Amino acid sequence: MFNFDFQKTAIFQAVRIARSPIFGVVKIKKIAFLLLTIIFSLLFLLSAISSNFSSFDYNSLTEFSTDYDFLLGFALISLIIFVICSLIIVFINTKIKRPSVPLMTPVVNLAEFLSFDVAKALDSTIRFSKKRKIFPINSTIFLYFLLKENSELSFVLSRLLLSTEEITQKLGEYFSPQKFHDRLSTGVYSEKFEQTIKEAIKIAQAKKHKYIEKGDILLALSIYEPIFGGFLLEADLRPDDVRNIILWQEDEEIKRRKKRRFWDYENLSQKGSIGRGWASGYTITLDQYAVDCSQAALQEGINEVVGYKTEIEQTERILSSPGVNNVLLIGEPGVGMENVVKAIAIKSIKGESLKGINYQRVMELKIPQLLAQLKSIEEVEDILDKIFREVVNAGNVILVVDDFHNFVGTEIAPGAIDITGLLASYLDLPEFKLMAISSYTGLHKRIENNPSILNLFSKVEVKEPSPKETLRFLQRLAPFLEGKYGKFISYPAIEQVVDLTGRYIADVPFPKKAKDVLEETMVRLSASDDKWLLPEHIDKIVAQKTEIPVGKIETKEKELLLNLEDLIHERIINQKEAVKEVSTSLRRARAKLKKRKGPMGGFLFLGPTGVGKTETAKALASIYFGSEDKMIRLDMSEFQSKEDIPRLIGSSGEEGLLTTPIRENPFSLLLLDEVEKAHPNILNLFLQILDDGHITDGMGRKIDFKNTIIIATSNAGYKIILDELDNDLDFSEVKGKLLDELFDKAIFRPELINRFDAVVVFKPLSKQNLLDIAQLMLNKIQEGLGEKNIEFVISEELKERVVELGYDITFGARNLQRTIQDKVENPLAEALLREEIKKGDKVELSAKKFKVKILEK
Amino acid sequence: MSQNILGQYLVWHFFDMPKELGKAWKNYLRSYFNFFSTGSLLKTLLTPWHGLMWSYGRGFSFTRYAETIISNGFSRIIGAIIRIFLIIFGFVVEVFIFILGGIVFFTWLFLPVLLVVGFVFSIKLLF
Repeated sequence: MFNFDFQKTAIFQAVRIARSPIFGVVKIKKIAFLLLTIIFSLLFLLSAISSNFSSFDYNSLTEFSTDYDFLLGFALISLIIFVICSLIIVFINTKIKRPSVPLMTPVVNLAEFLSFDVAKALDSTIRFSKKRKIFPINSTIFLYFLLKENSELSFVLSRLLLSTEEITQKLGEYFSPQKFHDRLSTGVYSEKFEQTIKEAIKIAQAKKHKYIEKGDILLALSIYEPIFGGFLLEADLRPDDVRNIILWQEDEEIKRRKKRRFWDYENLSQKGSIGRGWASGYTITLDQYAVDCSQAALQEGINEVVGYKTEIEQTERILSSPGVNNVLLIGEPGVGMENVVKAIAIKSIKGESLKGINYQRVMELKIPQLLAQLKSIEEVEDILDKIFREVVNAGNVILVVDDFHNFVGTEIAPGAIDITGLLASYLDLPEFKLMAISSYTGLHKRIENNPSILNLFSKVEVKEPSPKETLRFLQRLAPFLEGKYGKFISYPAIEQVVDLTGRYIADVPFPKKAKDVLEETMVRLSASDDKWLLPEHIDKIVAQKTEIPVGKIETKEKELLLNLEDLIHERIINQKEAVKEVSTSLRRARAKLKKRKGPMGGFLFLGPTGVGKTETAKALASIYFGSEDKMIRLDMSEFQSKEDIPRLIGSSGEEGLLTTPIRENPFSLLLLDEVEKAHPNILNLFLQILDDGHITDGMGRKIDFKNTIIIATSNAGYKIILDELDNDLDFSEVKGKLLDELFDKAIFRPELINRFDAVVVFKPLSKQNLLDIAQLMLNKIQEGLGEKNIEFVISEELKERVVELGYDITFGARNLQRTIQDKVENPLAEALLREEIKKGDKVELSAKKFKVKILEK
Repeated sequence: MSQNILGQYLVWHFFDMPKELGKAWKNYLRSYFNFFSTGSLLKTLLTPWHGLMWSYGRGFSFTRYAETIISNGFSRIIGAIIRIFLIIFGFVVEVFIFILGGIVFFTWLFLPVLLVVGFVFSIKLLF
């Protein structure tokens, strides 16, 4: 049921009043009578002053009062009319335009919930539809008037890089009764209009809005209005993006509205206070070596902290507890631990926190500064003791120590000292409140080794904000950056920052990585003529930072995927089935036909040595990631016992051989050589990686493998391949037999094999294959000499001889490279050094003794 | 409709707006109470100035005890004098805000009457 009777609502009356000419006149009158009041008052005053100067006696004063009464009378009447006009305007704006709303029931008139701006747009829609005889009243015209009458929405759309003019123009094309022939709609309003209103009600309720605001309607229209939907689709935007941008706009609006209400306690309390220190002890030494976070927050203008709600609440609880009240904030550097400190400082200034925290000074002690200024350890300890005593004596200080691990159980080094002995005696005093900040590494490496200190703290883990929270954080930051650099920031650019930094920068957490990229891009943009920050600008910066061709990854990646077989075959001889299987699996994985959690691709390469397994991995790294350097190679025979796990995933004080390179370069190919030799528990780690796409390293950090291709190679069971091929068995049957053998002998567990996108079996190489490989290798030498303007002729005999010497049934083509080095590269290099070969020469190598022959041209 | 609007105006003028004005009045009083730290200063009125205290030391010595008592007493007296100064100043400001707020509040309440009286007075001045 759709009960929507606009004309029976109070908001409809409000629209009519606001549109009435009388209201327009009142606004003009208000200004006119204000001016008249000023003019008459000035005239009256001037007259009074001039008459006083000319003569002064009692008689003249009485005369004056009668002579100039009319001026005072006019001034007073003007003032009264001005006040009445102002009253009418304020009354209409604050009362009439904001009528009370009924309770939400199934039969309630939904039009009662419209806000004034939405109602005004609807009123225009109805009038226009009546005039043009367009029925039922539809969402397209409604959107047209909503955009036309609300300039704030134009700004919202421009942040989405959409042009309001283009949209309204397109909407205007549909303003004819024929175009709105709507069979589904039976009432006064079209079906889409009905759906829009119902959706907007849901959106408004979810946001706890009293009325359906213009943003709620715009979001609902983005879902149900087809022309607007088309624009969004074309710009690659989803209703969720509209939701986010509206939230952003509403957030800004709330901030502006709050600022305007100067009489609210929140605004009044921003002045800080005087004489607070007179109620507490001196902190002369502390003031010398500390930064007052409370004062800094006041100077910044008290910008509220986004997110970290749980962490802030936990910290407040601990700091205000009656007993030991020291907090150890733990998180990855860059996760925003300073925001928790800032939030506590802000809440404390406003008196909005708990009893033990309100109106306290949050002071960050700069121990490195102290260490730099003082000469001896004794001096440092003396000063620190003095500072801690001052903190206790003052009774209104919350002390903050950043990089706390540097001051626990450490040897003396630049910027580091062990203060635990000194600190321990203060930490259990209720008057001493400490917020220590440390990284996970610092905690595991240093602080945990000192349990007596650790026990005096309550830990608060500061988690990395989610991409959604980071988006909101950047939106909060945007107006400041826009003001600083004089450029607008588009929503797609902010989304791109979060998306790309989330995908390609793994060694720094949110929000730092996103904030850094956004700021860096704004700095660059400020030097250009572009007015808007676009996703392309972000692509450039991320590409420069990560060395990943981010900008055109979409088109470039598509081309690569479609031609992957050809590109790999430029380097790999034979192995058509294997290359095809890898290519098709990768295409399937990257097309994201299914929701994918694991890495970009996971493959198990099986086959004898020297058949091109590693070379295929190298080729893939080079083609897909742009360089062979993007291949992280682990020899799994080095991980044959359980004790090797820490070496792989790291531990306190030791970086992981697997996790650290992936953390630093997630956009890489991970090659696990001889995977069958690894300990089963180590293989179990890869079950999780292949399944979920991430693993937690020894330091508690989440390592993401979603942008990594994992290739495991093994020559287990290669004899089966050789035997079966000797017996002329179809190669497609070899794979089945091989896997049976691997499972029978418990070399691999089926659950591991099943987690790979494909198990690829490499064939042994034929003589022709080896000749082709030799040709490829010799081609490289030919190219090198070609650059020196020397022509190198590769004869068939030479190739055959190289293959004859380099081929080994057990090692495949592996020896071929060495043979070419020994027999071809060495004689050529010697001849070059002896200057037997010169520029412009044409040379050949004899197949028998590998002697350099200069041929005639 | 006009009756309805008149009713709404009366509610707005004599209920909604006084409520809002009352809140603002309270906010000003509260914020200046905190601005001059009146609460904290009253609570710590007799505590030593900036926590400056002399120790009685070990063992009993009448002169040392007398000295310390006098020193600590002075520290408390000095603290109290300075604090009282700010407390009084804060109190004066609070009284001022209280009176000003009252004037604004009651002016608003009697604004319709004031406008009528003003209008009559100005007409008298003109004619």
